[in-house]
Amino acid sequence: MSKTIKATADDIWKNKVEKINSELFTLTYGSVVAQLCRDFHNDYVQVNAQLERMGFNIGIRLIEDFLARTGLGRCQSFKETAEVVSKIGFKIFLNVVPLVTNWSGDGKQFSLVLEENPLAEFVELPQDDKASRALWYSNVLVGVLKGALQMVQLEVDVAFVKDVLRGDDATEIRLKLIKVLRDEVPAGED
Amino acid sequence: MTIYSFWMFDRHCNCIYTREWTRSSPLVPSHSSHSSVSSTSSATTLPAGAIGTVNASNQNDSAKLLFGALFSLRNIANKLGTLPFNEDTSVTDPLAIHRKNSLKSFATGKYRAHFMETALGLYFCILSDPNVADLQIVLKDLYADVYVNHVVKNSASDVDFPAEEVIGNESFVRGVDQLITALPAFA
Repeated sequence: MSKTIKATADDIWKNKVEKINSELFTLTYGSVVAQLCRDFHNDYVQVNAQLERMGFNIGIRLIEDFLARTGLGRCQSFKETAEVVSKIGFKIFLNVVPLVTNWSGDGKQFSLVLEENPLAEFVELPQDDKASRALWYSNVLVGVLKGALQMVQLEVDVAFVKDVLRGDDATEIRLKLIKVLRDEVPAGED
Repeated sequence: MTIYSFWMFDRHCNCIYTREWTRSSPLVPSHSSHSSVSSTSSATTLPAGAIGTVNASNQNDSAKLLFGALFSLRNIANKLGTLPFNEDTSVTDPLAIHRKNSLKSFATGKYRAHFMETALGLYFCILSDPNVADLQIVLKDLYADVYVNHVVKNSASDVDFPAEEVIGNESFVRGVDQLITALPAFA
């Protein structure tokens, strides 16, 4: 079953993705965050928001690249979405496969637990308490997920709930399906 | 065999790109030279040496009728052939998303419309002579190679088009032309 997903993702990762040096990637992202912290005078709430906005703009384009590479159509259930996001999405763009877990009873909320986070390698948050309480260092991922899913008509609420950088035991992103947006229909059709 | 034209509609049901390779396309009536003032103002200039028009018919009735026909046929296809969704099988077979019965083409006496829809709700449509065989692969290439590379990855270009805005970007126009004019069916 999930073999097919994994095999597809591996194949795409091996043959259809241009790779860049992961340290270069990590350091580039790090300097973006550091620059934002300077720009917003360490107002981490604003930094989070800005990272999310940047991610959103990435997400709405990344989804097209994702679909073009994978040839997938729309998912039929949120469970399927979760599998595709973690096993194919994260795999082909970041080469990690977060664990899909903590499903809520109604099947509308789940968590992605990242064992490794390529964005946060070598990173230490500033020593002040403020940063470790307020800053979600990898918040760009939240925006990417929101943007990408919104383009396939899924309105989701995404947020970090844990980050190893803050001293938590894991890095966890929580996704909550708010609603499935309806496709627009031509005037006079509804 | 001939390929007459290529049409793109976005998820807001607007026509965002038209490319007609010949003026004798079945969808364009011969009096279309004076069709509408607004359409000529939005027309995009062609690469040197190319024939036909780009973005000249986005707002005219042909575009609307074509969209309506595709939209309805697509809905009929989805309704007719899609199996009732079963929560259990979807997880075991997540890549069989194409089990959906989707519209691929329809033909009339004088032309065939080849159709593809992406998960984001973009419609791609090529109008050709009825003898032209399946062009699904070409439509996929237009999406994955031309659209993604020249529009999505082009940060100067929108991805969500405001009403009446069209894709006028030259590298996209060139990319589409290269792909289509190289087809054996284009001759």
